[in-house]
Amino acid sequence: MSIKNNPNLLYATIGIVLLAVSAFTFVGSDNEMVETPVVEENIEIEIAEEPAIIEDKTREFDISIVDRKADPSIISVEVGDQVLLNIIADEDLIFHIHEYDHEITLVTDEVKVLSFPVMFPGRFEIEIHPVEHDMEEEEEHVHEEEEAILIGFLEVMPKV
Amino acid sequence: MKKIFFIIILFQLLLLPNAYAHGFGSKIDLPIPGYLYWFGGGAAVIASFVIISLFVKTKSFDDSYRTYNLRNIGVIDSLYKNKSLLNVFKIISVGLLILTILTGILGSQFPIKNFAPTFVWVIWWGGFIWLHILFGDSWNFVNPWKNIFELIKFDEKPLKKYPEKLKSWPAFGFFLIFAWIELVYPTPAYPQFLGNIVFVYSVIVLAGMRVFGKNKWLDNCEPFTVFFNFVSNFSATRVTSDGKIQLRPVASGLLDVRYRFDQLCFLVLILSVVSFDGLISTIFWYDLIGIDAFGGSGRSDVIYVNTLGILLSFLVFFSIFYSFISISKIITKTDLTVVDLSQKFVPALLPISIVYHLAHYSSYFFLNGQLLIKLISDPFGFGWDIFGTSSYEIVRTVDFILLWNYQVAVIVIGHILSVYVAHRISLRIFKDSKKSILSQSPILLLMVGYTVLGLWLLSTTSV
Repeated sequence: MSIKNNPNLLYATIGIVLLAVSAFTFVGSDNEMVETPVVEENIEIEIAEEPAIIEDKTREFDISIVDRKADPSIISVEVGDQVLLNIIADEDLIFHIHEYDHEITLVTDEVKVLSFPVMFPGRFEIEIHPVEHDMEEEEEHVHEEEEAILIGFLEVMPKV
Repeated sequence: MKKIFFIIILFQLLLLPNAYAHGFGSKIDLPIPGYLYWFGGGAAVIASFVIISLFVKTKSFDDSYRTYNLRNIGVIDSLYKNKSLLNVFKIISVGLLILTILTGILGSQFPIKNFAPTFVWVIWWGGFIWLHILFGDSWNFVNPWKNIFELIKFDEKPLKKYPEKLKSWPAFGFFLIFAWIELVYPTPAYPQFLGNIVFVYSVIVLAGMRVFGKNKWLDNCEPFTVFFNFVSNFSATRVTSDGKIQLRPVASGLLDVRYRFDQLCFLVLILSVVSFDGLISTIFWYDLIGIDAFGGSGRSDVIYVNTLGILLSFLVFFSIFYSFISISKIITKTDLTVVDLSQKFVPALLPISIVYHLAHYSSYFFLNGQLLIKLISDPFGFGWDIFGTSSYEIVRTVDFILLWNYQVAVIVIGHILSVYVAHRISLRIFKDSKKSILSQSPILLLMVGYTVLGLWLLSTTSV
């Protein structure tokens, strides 16, 4: 049995591919349809003159790091957002986001603000590095503790 | 001494956070969205039924498929006849092996500044498989150990007779060790480790080929020869023994193979390792083994549990496969043993496994593969700039919508190929469409399950 003497197989394959393509398109457009009309109406009636305000989407998160664990551990945003993180920790730490390479030094129980725009999508590791003060005195112990601890992810979703 | 200790610790620490899921490199994959997961699963189920229903009334069985000899095309024929091109590839492959060993041992010990980790884990292990799908068994031509053996003109007459009862179990063992290093060993990308292990392995292969004969060793003990040979059955091309370059339908090569029990086990090992690779970085797995994914744990904290996991996953895959085949035997009342049936049906599972590998590795390969552009200019990490590419800026923007659709599409296509191959195999065994469809139903269920596992691994939250 080959495609040659069974055209049904060929039709079925084409059918499945078409089904797949249409489903992708349908699901994609479906999502847009749920959200956009409402926003558009608002824009037209009230804020149409100031589109800049709508585009500037600042997403604010309060992150507390207790016992080297972050709450929340996953920060989910969308490409184009401006992220604003208010971070507080119960010890001195360096807070670091991979690939974007944003870094901020945290001081015990003090709120620090890290703000940046997110340009490319993906899941990026958020790490902390404990800061050691007595580096000269106890060198051996320091190196064992000088580590990168994964505490969460910055999840940047693509624009649909 | 203290300084060396410090340097080693530092390098290991630099390595750990990035080297979690794979041998090396960062992975920024977003899980595929739920709707695509459901769509993919649904498409797999529907496709299975469509294919089966198309064949319900089939009375005849025919094992042949259409082929086309690519040497009828002038350009390809002259390229094929021109042995110097092949020799260039052979020399390049030997050069790359030597470069890997040298850079690993002598170069910068910072993994991303060293040629060895990127080349071994990203380019060769992550990307080389594509060549096999497109061009058939490329490893056969560029296997550097084989080429060294031929270049040095070692005596091909074996010193000892290969103990035939070992079959290809040594390759199985080596592949398990390789998978363990990639997925479980704490620092697989540490250049000196990599350089050393490639060197040691090279000595083993060359000695093995000398002692037991080149082809005996390669076919039975060299895991990559065995692995890539399996994969190349999936390929659209094949070089036949009479010198034709056949173009054939993708995956049709799986209809030609007859596997022994040891080869069946090797194949199941591939299926299980590929899935285990995805599993170990999921939050689900961390919850299962009771370790906090965000608790500062590194690979060294999960070394024992993941070692156990890699062995268990093989056993679990094997027993699931075996029990589904048993059901198949019971409902068809065939005289064939379960092992017999397993050996016959196992090639059908390979496409699902390969496409999962392709879906899982694609963005990893795209992102980390770019490192090679920098590294060819400065393979040792000494600050050279041979080709002027060492300051290449890595493109980090991944089109995830495209990536997700691609991932689900290849998985569904792989599933369709698997179902089709299984159907052809069962027709060959039973020569009766009713029985063949009966025999397939458990295998079909198994395939849907395996495909959904792949989709689930891509859609679940991972570390």
